[in-house]
Amino acid sequence: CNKEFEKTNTNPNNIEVTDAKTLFSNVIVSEFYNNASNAWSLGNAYSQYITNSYSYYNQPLRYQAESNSTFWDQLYYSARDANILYSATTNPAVEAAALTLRSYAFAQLTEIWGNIPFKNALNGSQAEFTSTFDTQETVYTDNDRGILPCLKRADSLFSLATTADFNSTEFAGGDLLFSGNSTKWRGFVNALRLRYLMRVSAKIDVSSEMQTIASNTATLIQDANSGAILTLPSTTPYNFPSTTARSGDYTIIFMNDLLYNTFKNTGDANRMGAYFAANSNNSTATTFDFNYYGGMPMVTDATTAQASSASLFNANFNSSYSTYAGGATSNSNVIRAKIISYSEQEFILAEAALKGLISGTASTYYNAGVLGAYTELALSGGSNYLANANVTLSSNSATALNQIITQKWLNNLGNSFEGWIEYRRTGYPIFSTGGSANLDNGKIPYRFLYPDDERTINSTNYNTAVQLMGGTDDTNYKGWWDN
Amino acid sequence: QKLKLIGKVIDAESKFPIIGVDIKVNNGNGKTATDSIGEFSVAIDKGNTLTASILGYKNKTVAIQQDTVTIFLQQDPKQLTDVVVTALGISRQTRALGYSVQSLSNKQFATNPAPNLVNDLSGKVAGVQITNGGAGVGSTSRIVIRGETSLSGTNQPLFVVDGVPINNETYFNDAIEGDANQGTWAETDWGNGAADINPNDIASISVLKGGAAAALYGSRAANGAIVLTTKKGSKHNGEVGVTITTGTTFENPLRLPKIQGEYGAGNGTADYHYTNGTNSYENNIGNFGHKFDGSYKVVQFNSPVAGTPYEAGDVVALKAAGIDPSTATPTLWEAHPDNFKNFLQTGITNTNNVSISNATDKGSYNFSFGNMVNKGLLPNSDYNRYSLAFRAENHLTDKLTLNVFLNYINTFSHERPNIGYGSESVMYSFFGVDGMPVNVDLNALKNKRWQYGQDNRTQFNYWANHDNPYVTMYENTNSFKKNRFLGNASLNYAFNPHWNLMVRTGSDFYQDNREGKRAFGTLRFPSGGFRTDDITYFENNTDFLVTYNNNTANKDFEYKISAGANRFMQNITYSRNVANSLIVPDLYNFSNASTYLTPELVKQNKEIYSAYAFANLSYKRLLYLDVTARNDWSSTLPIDHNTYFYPSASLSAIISNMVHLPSAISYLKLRGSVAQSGMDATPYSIMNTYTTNNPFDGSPLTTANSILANNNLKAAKTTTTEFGFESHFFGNLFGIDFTYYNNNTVNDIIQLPVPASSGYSNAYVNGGKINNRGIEILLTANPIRTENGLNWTTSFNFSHNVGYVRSLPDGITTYKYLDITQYDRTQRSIQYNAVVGERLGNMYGRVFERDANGKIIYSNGLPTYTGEDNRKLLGNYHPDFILGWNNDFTLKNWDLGFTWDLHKGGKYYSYTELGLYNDGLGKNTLAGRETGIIGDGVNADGTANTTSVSAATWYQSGYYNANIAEPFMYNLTYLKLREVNLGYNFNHVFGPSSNAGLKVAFIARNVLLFTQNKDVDPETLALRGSQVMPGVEFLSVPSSRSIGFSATLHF
Repeated sequence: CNKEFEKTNTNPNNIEVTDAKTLFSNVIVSEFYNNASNAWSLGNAYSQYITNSYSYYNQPLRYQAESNSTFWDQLYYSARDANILYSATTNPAVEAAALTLRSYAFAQLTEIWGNIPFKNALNGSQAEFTSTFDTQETVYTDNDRGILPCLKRADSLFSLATTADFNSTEFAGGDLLFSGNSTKWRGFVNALRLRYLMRVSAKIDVSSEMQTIASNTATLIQDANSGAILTLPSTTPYNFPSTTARSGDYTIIFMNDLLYNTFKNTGDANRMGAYFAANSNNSTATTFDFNYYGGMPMVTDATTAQASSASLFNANFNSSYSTYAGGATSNSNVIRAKIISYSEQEFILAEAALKGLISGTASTYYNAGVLGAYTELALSGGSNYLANANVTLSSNSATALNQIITQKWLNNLGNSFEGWIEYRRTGYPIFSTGGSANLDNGKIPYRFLYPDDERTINSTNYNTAVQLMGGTDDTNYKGWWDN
Repeated sequence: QKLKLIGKVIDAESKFPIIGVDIKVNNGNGKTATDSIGEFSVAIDKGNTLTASILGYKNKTVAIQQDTVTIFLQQDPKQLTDVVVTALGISRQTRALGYSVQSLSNKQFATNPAPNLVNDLSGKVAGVQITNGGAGVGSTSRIVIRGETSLSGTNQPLFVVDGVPINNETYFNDAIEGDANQGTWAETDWGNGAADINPNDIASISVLKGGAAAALYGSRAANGAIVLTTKKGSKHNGEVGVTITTGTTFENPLRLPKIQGEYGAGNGTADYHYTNGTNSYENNIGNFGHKFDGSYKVVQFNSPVAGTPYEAGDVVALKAAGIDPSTATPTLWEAHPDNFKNFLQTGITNTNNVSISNATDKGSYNFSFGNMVNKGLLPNSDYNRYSLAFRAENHLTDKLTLNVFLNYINTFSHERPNIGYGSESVMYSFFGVDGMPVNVDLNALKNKRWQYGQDNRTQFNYWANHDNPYVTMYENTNSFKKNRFLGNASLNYAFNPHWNLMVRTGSDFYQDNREGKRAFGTLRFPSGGFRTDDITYFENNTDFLVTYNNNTANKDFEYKISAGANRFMQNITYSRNVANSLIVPDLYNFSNASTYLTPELVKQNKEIYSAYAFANLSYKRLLYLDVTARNDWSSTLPIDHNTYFYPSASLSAIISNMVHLPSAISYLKLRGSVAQSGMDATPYSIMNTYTTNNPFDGSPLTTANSILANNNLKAAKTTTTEFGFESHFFGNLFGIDFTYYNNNTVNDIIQLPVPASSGYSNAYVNGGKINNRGIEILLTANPIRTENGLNWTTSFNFSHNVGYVRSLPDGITTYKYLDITQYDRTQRSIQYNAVVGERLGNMYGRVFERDANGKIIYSNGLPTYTGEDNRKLLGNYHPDFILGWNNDFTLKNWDLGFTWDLHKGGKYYSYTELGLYNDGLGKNTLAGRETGIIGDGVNADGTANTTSVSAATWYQSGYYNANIAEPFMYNLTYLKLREVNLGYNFNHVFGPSSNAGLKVAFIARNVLLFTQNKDVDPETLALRGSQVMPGVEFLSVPSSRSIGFSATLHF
């Protein structure tokens, strides 16, 4: 009866062999979608774009130590699928894309949690469930799996791939991001290389590699419409998460003071209007005035006055949200899922030029970044905006750096935890400590806690990792480049 | 004239066949004994007499006039014996059993049957723990026998009807919830399978607790077995017997949350006022606002808008008219503390049953039709059951007997409420965090479900985060229709007095068709929703059993040897279709879907082949030895180790008949047994797969299955050792039955949560080692038995079980096997952790930080609490012991019965209490409203806390902060008056010559409750993510006290 048993116990629900095309699609969708989704639930608050006004929900958003384990799990699962995809294909373009997406997941993990299970992670299918933790430095630089070497390898694999490789069913068929466009993929991978080289630039000499990348302009993201940005469908489950939020959940998420003041100080009416609505005190206003909008500081529970003077996101962000405010035009570009934009690439190059890591003029890159950020949202008025005294790149290099990072921060609204990560690296823009509302004793944390299953099931390695932090799983512990 | 007599010996009371009865032909030398189905054949002269005798019964002598005879033996109370149905449907005398079996006869539950058969065992059987579902009549009752033996799986016993297993699972719809709120379908409890059985069709329920009792049922009985025997036709003086029963009970909530009526909505910093229901900040909905002073007026959702037919909540109409809703005329700020009480309706449960039976020497039948119609406590909720049952027995030839049982059951409901967390559940709407504030006028919501001119489009509600509860109950329904057939047929062939062959097959087949409807404009479904979930279940068991009985041999040594085999097959299909938005309102069909449909089809198939043999040996009917052996081959395990063997042995010694004991001891039996049972895996857990995610804008997505299969899985094994004694004193005056057991499970197959850094979420592994041990004591007494007919029998069932985790796989010392969360807010979850060396059922959560003296450490007047990586033991959800006390009084035509049920010890987390405190809804939150609150504790420097915080802060983010589990832990100890029955029997109701009888009874269930928590009944289960778990009270529908009448007429 063994034959009969085999037949009975053959899984009638799931496939037993992988299909590279659909696996590739899944890695893309999961990484982009989770980025947007986690930005909405946590990242935007960590990066001080928003304030949640209600204490029952907002404790994690006020820097209370927590694991953020959902995102951790999602990132490892994405890395796993990318890893399987990498081993399952012989197509160099698919290999390159798999390396790119795996590296991105590992980069998110190390930048949000610090030292992570890495070199022998993802080995569950060989019954190896526990992994040692590797230092952040290893995660960036390891020759075999490290982010920087792998992204470099991905770039050279893309350069070797033939047109047929790019047009294959596996690659073009599965590529929900760029539909098999080789130029855009190379741009994506090189922009990521620039981002991560810049991240570790205080620790290792990255200038020659950055220069090589910067010089080869054809392999960069070409324009604001070629960035690694995925348009989400309007229906569940991959719609932008806020669009179907209950209006009650939605109407407790306000523009943060810092963001409001930044918009106001730079005269950024266009971008503010694209994202936010007039406050409820001025809900029937028909003309524009910065005073009709408002920000909210980090609060335990907002007072009536705070709630009625601060702005909510506008109607783009919620389909059932019915506003009495006029003026908000529909702009679906603000609810896309982003990993890295043209604009960010230009800001990185601007910073590199400013710091002399590459040749070239910082303001050229910076201006392209500012204009690109407007183009990305299909907003007009970029040139006017650039002319604002607080936007035009200063000749003072400290001010210029603040401007570059602040503009990058504005561009990365809704992009995972990028704003917070860059704040940790540069100190810009200057975050508010939040006073007594801050549940991390007035500090901005550097990382999240490790998830439960690492602490319990992977306890030996976890304990070693915690020893490295001085004995406790501490959200204020600084990783390699944070130090 | 020589007759070839075929006879049968039956227990006059229980109607069970009696095995091993000596049959002696009086004038001659013929003798024989009854076989495994109580039958015998012997050659005898017409007119001669024969005598049937067996220990425990009065001898009976009958004269033989024809070639068949049925002999009814009366039990002899002096000889103390009982017959119970054991594994494979075989009746055995309890004296012969080396293990503990407890049995309930129909009498013990017929007068006042619980809607769910499982609940009839509450308080009546030692070693059994029953927990009620949280959704009223029709919800799942969980039954655990002698503790949880496995960290995975449901630990539910096998249910068996007439020797053939049936399904008792609850198959849940996949609850769908995610970051995207549109299409969040919350949990619904659809009830456990055995609840479909009509208690009127059941003659007896045997609870096989230990491994030895269940050894012959194999894997699926590793957690014990509940053996149901259906009613057979019985002889009524040669005439057709009819029994008609009817009963009606009325249900009211046993316990309701105590709501304050002094303060309305507001959060302490912001006062409530209605702006426009959509982009307002009416989330300040905790009850920390204005006092109800009889004069304060404010714009509320039902405040009229002058000059229009609209109220402030008619947002759509007002917007169209260009009117700001906040310009409505302020209305009086009034308290409505009885909103929930007024929301509930009186439940009514009506049950009816008609059964017709007859018996002749050739055979018998019993036919019944029964129904139960329940109207639930929650408006519009209901549960209905109709069943037809037919049992027949026919002696086709002298040697061949056919037995058939057929049962058709139709259950359905128009609305099974969503329960648990989330705005889909009305319990959440009332008592979840941000439950309905005291100032809301429920009548305004009752009278107006839809906004003005917005019928079926936009609901009329008081706040943007909760649905109008009448819309939830009447519009957002979860209905089901289930059609179930179960039945079995067996053929028995007696070759001769020694050899017997039984062939049997039985199936359980059902289709359960569920529909979920969601109206437009409800919170989770802005443009409606529709889903269907269909379950098709099929199970077949076919077996045979050959028996050799030495019943005519040497009387000192008797034996019976049987061997048999079974083939089990099971096919389950779950199919689901979901449309999370519709084109037009009020048409619930997929043709009306406005989004991609994401159908799901999950099939699950399984087969087990088994071979088994057993021997029952007896020496002078003083010493009994049973040995069994079973080997299973399961399709779910890897081919190399898909076979597993397990034996058992049990011994019973009737000491009182062996040695001279003091005369006070009428009976003493010692017993002991050792038994193993094996457990296989879940289907498809040995081969890794890829699963399909929802397509992205039409593009298919696949991903590696995050649950790792394991092609090295082995069967888990449970070994039970059991000792006990049974003794009676002064005849039947007083009896005690004591059992100690020790039960070890090794190689438990667990779905180990693995760190996500391995790339996966769970992996099937062998390796858990679990120990359960406990004692069961059954005390019976008959303290009053008088000449005038007053009789009082009473019994105590005591059970104590404690389970320990002895080891976990791969040196792991702790792991979380369950999380009870509020959506994805894991920082607040109650975790069920398996920790090596600790008790099973330990729950962990965040607690207050305390100093060395146990004082809570405060900071700025607020208690500090542990981090999410530092959860502490909150308690264990298992009671220390359970004690049931049953009483029966009879006096002439009257009888009175009542049952008390005590659960002592254990803890649970009450989510309802979190809502009541956090929201300032509960009466207990009135303290400190005007003065502020200074928490009792110390500051970090050791000085006493003297900082006062406002009541709003104290309840919302201070002591009763939702992140802290500790303040919401309650003692599970409760005492319940479970049942009361008072009946009167009218005899000869159709005249002195008739045998017709009528019994009328007053019946009540869940009459009284004594427990620490004054707001909720602790006897409820959490239903979260398709898991039914004790330990957390998760916004359950209040349990009900039911009171009513029943009448039984038989003629």
